[in-house]
Amino acid sequence: MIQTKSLTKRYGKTTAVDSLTITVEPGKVTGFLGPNGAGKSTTMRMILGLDHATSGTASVNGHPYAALRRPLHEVGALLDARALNPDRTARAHLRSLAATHGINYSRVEEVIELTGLRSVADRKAGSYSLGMGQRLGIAVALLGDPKTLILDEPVNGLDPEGVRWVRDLVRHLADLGKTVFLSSHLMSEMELSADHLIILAKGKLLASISMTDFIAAASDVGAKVRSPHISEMANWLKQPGVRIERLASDAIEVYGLTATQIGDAAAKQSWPLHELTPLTVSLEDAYLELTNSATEYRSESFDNYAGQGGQR
Amino acid sequence: MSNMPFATPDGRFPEYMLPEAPNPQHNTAAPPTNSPSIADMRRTPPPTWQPLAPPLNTPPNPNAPTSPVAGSTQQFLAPQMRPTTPSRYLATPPPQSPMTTDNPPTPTIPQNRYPVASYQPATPITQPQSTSPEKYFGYDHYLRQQQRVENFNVSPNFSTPTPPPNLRPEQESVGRYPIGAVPESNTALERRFGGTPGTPDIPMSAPAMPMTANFPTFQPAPSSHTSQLSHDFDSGLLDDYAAAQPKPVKLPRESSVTVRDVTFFRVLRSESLKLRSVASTWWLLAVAVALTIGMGALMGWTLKSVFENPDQIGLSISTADLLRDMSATTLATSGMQFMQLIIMILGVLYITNEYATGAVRATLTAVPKRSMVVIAKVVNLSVTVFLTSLASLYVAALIGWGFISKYGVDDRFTLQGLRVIAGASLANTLIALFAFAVGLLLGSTVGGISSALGTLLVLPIITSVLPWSWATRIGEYLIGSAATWLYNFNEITLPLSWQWNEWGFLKGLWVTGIWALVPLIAGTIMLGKRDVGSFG
Repeated sequence: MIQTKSLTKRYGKTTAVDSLTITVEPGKVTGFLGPNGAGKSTTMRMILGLDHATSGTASVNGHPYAALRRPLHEVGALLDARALNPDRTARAHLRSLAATHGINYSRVEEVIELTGLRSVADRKAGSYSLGMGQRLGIAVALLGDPKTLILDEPVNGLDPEGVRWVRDLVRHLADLGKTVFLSSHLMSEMELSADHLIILAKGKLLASISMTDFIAAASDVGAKVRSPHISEMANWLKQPGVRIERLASDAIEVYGLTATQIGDAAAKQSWPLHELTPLTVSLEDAYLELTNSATEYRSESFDNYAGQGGQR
Repeated sequence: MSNMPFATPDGRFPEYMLPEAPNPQHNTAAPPTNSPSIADMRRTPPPTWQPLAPPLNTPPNPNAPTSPVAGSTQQFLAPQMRPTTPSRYLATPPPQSPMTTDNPPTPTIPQNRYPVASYQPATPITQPQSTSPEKYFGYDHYLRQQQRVENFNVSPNFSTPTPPPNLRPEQESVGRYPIGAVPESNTALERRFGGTPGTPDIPMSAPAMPMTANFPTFQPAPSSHTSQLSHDFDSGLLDDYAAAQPKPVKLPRESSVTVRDVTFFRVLRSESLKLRSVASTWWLLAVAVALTIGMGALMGWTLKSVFENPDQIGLSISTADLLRDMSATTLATSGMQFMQLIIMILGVLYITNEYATGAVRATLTAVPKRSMVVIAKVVNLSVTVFLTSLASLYVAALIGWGFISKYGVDDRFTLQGLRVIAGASLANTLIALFAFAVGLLLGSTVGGISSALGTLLVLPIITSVLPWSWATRIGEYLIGSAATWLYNFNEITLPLSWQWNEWGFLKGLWVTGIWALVPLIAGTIMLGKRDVGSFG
């Protein structure tokens, strides 16, 4: 359980995090979203006590981080996988961290095995690829079997097998009852992993909401319908408050009625339905819509980019 | 008979579901009259788990009794058997009611020029076939399925059965929590859908918001076309709203990994491991040792040749006498300046390497008490430098003695000699600590090394060049010269001085000590205040 109360961080005149009050609950995966420069990494660093807050407090399992007697057992963090000496082997790095808490070397081997680093554990950490370094960071986070996990972009650089593994891992850990605090820019992965979302923009909290509520709020009520009797169906369903868009010769999109109602109506009229898909937006669309005005570093539209073309 | 598979091509149900032995003349259209109670169903132990899909080419047993649900291939999952891994959940479509005995429509193969790899027959909407298990992940939905299965053989006016007890084998090993007091089971089944079974249906226009403290500013915009949700068990939307209910906190099980408190000695051990596991440490120490021993040997050889051929070098008799008083240990300390150079670099790199690579974040995440980290590093560095100096200086003394054994004073095994070497090692340690403190204060490798080496080498030159007398006085108090008083005593030429006001061992000790301690304390305080999150 992570709690912050009016957490603020100012660098001179710029406010990186503005009076943030959030609660990250155990037993579910909480996704931490926000545009670049929103203050996500700063918040995570303040939770871990690496940066000092200008005002406000952050606590983990009820205590500030500096007061924990076994920090690696309470919180496992992956903030930057490159936070290690590149001349040291992964095994030595893990062992040195394990030694601070009196953790047995068998646990180090266990964690190396778990993250799939067995074959490269004795190579210098500086020679690791991006994915291997990321796995080592996850190994460091899991070393003390923590009750809380704070992961900043854990799937950055991982191959699909690794991405799937991280997804299943955070799911499994959340099911065990741990608190998982996950920050990622990969919306498709976030949609699959997270149960609860905390969205930040320009240092301010935009939303702390469950995934389903967020998507439902951004979704229109409607469905895509495909049927051989599509014209009759469209005429039947037309009413004030309902908008119908023609997609293909046998498909329409109906806005304003639930899939249930359309299906019932079709069944009553004995129109066979070849497809009835309720409309939902993806997390990406819902998120971009919400943070549209709150993005600080926005890319320019490239429609007018007159660069060199490719070869003929 | 009790080892029958769960489903056969002719749609037989396992025996324990039926009230009595199946009657071969059983009418397919008539529903069974004797409905077992739910208690009866549960009392009978279920058969052992069998694979669900029977082999395709198994011919139907002509002697087997027909069941009311003829002609449909069904997969069945007993209510008491729940798979424990989430990825193997199976969609369990509800069985067809006995009233509708329509055969599924025969598929019409489309006339294509290209063969179709797999053709899915069209299924009527009344029998939903879910391809994604997501819709069936809901705990409530699972229970509703279960109720449908249980209600199949039950007369319509039977009351709603209570859900089965929440007993799973692994829950008994939770540890501190007695059975029954355990919160909702920790399966992925319930990860999204908490709350107690039988959550009332919630109309869509009023979604329940989670009861988190300080609820955010974001409010979903009220849309004009939301309509009341009619009851539909299969939509999956109810499960989504069940997820919005506040769930009981799931406490994690006890950890099987032994993790102990962070104590100073554990941090010390960790620092020692870190220093040992980096190649640059060994290289620097090797160079320092080689320099010391090399310098000692070189000086010994030079002195020997000077003494043997004084006229060739043109030295007076008094200088030769002086040389006669050279002891082995004093010879060993002749190369101290070079060793101090390397030791300073080691001291600075020890701390600034962590800043530069960002490893300080990993260290301070594991040990948030920053003063403990600094003190452990200080102790580690001191012990390393002291022992290395001791060993290399002693070896240098032995080798040097090999050259000047005929001419000098043998103090290799005397207390005086030991004092010299110990004093020299102490001087090296304090200089290393000074360099470490400079690195801690400045944070950068380049700044640290240049400042430390400048203080050791450049400042004495400046003070000696300046014409004023106070410049010379200041020059005495610089770290390089103050440190020499820790080992620069020769019982024959200079008395061992323990006075405060005279330059001697004690004065050298406290001046060098202040040089090391003041930046160290300042650096520790600065580290405590500084933001280390974005280093490296």
